[in-house]
Amino acid sequence: MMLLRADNITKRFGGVQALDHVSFEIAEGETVGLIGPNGAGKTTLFNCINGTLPIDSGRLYFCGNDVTGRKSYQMTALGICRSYQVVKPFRRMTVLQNATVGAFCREKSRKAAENTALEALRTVGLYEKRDEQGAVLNLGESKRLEIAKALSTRPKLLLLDEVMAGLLPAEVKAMSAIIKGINRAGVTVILIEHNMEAVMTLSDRIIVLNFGKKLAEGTAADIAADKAVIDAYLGTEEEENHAYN
Amino acid sequence: MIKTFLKRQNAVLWIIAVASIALPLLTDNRYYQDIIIMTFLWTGLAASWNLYSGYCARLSIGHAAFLGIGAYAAALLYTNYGISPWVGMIAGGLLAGLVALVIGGSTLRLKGTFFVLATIAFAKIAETFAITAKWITGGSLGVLIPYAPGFINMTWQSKIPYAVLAWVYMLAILAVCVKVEHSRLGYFLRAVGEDREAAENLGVNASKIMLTAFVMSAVFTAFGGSIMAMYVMYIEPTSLMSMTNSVQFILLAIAGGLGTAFGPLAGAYVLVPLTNLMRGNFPSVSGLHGLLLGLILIAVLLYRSSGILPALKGFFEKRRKGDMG
Repeated sequence: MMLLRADNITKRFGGVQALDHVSFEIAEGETVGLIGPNGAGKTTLFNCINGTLPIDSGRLYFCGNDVTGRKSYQMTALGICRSYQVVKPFRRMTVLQNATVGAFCREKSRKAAENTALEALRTVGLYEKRDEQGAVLNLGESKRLEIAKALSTRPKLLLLDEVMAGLLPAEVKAMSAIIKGINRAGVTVILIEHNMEAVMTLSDRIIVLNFGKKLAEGTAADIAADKAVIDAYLGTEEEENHAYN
Repeated sequence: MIKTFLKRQNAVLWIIAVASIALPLLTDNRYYQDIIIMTFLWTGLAASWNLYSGYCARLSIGHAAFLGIGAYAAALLYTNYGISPWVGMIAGGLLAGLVALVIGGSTLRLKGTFFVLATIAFAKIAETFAITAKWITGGSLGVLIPYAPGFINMTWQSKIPYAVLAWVYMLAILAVCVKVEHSRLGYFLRAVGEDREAAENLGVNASKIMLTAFVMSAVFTAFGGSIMAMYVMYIEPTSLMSMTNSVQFILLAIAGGLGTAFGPLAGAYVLVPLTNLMRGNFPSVSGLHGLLLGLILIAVLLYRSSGILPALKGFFEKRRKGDMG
């Protein structure tokens, strides 16, 4: 059985067709990359999957159940949680408290919630920073806190929105290892990423969006060789040279 | 000493709160006793306000309405039907909770400024209702509560029992606030206050959480209103439900430290005695206490916008770092 099935998801903002009959399936345990040029509808797709935005038409199935129209807190309770591209730490709460908010999704007592949160902080390497205020973290740490918060809700499906953007090469490497670890622990991952090297190595499969439509889907090798993807997004060497001249 | 203060900051504040009951016993002066009672009462009231507005960062400038509901419920049931004010207090709490459910429910979707405006309108409506609905409230003349001392009537000759009552009220509210701060509700409230979307993404049902806190805040405020009415023995709509009273909640909580359990205590313990003494000692300069309140608030906002309590904490932390270095 598929963990997530999106069936003709459509979303329109005024005159802009942000998502145009997008369909795909995610199997349990997969890591799937979601790539495409800016404005392709990647983040909108995340917003629609986790219930932040209502979809105009189409259906969404999670664990075989129709979950179309659920709100984001309900999606989180079901097991879908996302991280934000523009980090949203709770600035006046400590790192541990930030993650504990997520853990309270499944735990009633503070002790139990804090244990879950601490575990998540260890996973992303923020355990040492647990007593710092959310406001003082640098970008790399904030991105990791985003993941820890989402992880604290014990998701089945984790949506990661550009968690590598703006990171140094060494940090990208560490982040890749963290994501691999989370996936190995049994969490299915969809990641939006512009860092091609990272997304190609991490993903079992890649989905390419362009102008709100699914352009291609396949393994990293398939995608790298796909003519349509190269034209729309990856580009060719000649083109690049042409652009410089 | 300073280290233990930091570690046991709440313990020190608890000791201050509990030990303050000695104050009204130390003096025979009814004027000072009155100030102490008002300080206890306003600590509890500001803490009630803080429970919603402080933690989830949505300013209500309409809490005087809940104060009024509590005051009128106790006063009217007692004066007109001879029902014990203790029962009236419960009735007032229930009514305030019901009203909060409606007001809170219908304003959930309103963002910052619009929510503030809605609460101001709500207080104005409550005040106008109290003035015009003469057959219920006695109109703008107010309600004069008959003097018949006795525990069952929540009326005493001495001020000490009132002080004890206000003190118990204050401690009860503080205990609830501390409990909430360390619970799921408190974590969720603060998260919603900082970023509603991010909180909902972590599984927080923001509407439910906000409504819960708003109702709690209203009920506790109404309890305080009942005590205030029985203590003053006279209530009158325009002063009880005035903007000045609504703003008093906010001033005390902001000056003390928004969204901290003991912030309202710090604010009320400093500002209530200060303004009362100003009013008492310089009666010729009318409005002096208002001016002072304004100046203190400006100073707090300029120097340390997080409030008196966090400022004290910061001061001790610096000292501690100095000690170690």
